[in-house]
Amino acid sequence: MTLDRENFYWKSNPEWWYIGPDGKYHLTKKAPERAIKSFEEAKKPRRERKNPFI
Amino acid sequence: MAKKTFENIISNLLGEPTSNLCHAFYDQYVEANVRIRSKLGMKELIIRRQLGKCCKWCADLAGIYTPENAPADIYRRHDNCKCMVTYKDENGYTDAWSKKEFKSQSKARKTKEKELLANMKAYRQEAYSKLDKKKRIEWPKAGEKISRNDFKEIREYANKKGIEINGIKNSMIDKELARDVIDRTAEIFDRYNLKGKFKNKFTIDFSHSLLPEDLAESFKDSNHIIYFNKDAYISRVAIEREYLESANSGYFVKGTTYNSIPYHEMGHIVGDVYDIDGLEIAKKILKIEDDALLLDKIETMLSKYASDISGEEIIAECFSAVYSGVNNEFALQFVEECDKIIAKKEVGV
Repeated sequence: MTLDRENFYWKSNPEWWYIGPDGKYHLTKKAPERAIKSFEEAKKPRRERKNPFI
Repeated sequence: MAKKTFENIISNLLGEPTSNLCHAFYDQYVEANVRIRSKLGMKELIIRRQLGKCCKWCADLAGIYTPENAPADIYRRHDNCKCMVTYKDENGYTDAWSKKEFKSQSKARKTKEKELLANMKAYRQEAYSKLDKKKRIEWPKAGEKISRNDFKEIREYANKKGIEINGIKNSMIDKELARDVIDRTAEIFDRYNLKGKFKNKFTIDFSHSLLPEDLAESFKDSNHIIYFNKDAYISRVAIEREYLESANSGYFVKGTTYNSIPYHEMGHIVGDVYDIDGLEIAKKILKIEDDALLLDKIETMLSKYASDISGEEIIAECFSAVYSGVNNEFALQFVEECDKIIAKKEVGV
């Protein structure tokens, strides 16, 4: 459980994303690099981002 | 943010495998050396110790061996392995990796622990520096140190409920917060009959390894442990403030408090143990097939955190709401569906 909202940054501006005909989220060309990075990170299963020290 | 230089990319991709390979080469050298010395009649011992809680493979390998009876894998290691391999001869103890010599095993261990702690701090600083945020959480650094008696009492309290507890000895964790975490974890542990569902003892670990933003974590490949942020649990006021700010903004379920953190993590654990697909259950309840539309609806009905693309947070946020006593229609229906699935699995239908 994290207070970090970076995984949702891509969704903070409605101009950056849309729902495609496949029923999934996609980014528009207006999405900045940080939003793209945040979107790619969000698509990963949460527990793949394992902290090497635990 | 770290620059995307060639060195940084290579370091990120190959850092750990390279480290692992180097460790393995050196361990092979030590292995040959130890065998030769042993054959010459010198008393040699190979000691493999795990530092902290490692994986089952490492736990099985840990022990004291002579070169003759040492298992074949004694010098092997996996990525991020933090085990310590030392060999003992007439001169004392030598760390297989650093070549440093020590008079006793405990001194070797303490040195290794210091190195690991320094690496961990560096990792946390690097990871933290990558977070591009306006507001960074500063947890209180000071608090009342837990007494020896309180530590024993809390440990026994947890053990009575069938739970192991780590990380509270000599810590500044608020003892009432610790008890509260134990109670709420045990409540779900009993309700979902989790006793005997794990290979290792179910453990609550108050850890320094979490980033400041992480209140608690649990992982699929070691789902018998819930890690709680040791710094966050020093002050009730601080954790309450940070949680409430997020809940009031809709990031967490409205009406929940920091008390729901153990319920949230136990939601993940129950989901893992009983292999529950949160997205499928949500689709059934809300009668929406498209993932994105479904997650949008969940964000409105439950919380932003629950609308994580992975769908893994749905069960956790529903547990958080229902067991905290928040009247959320979707969460109630979701937990009821989970209970039905679990009941079927328990009786083997």
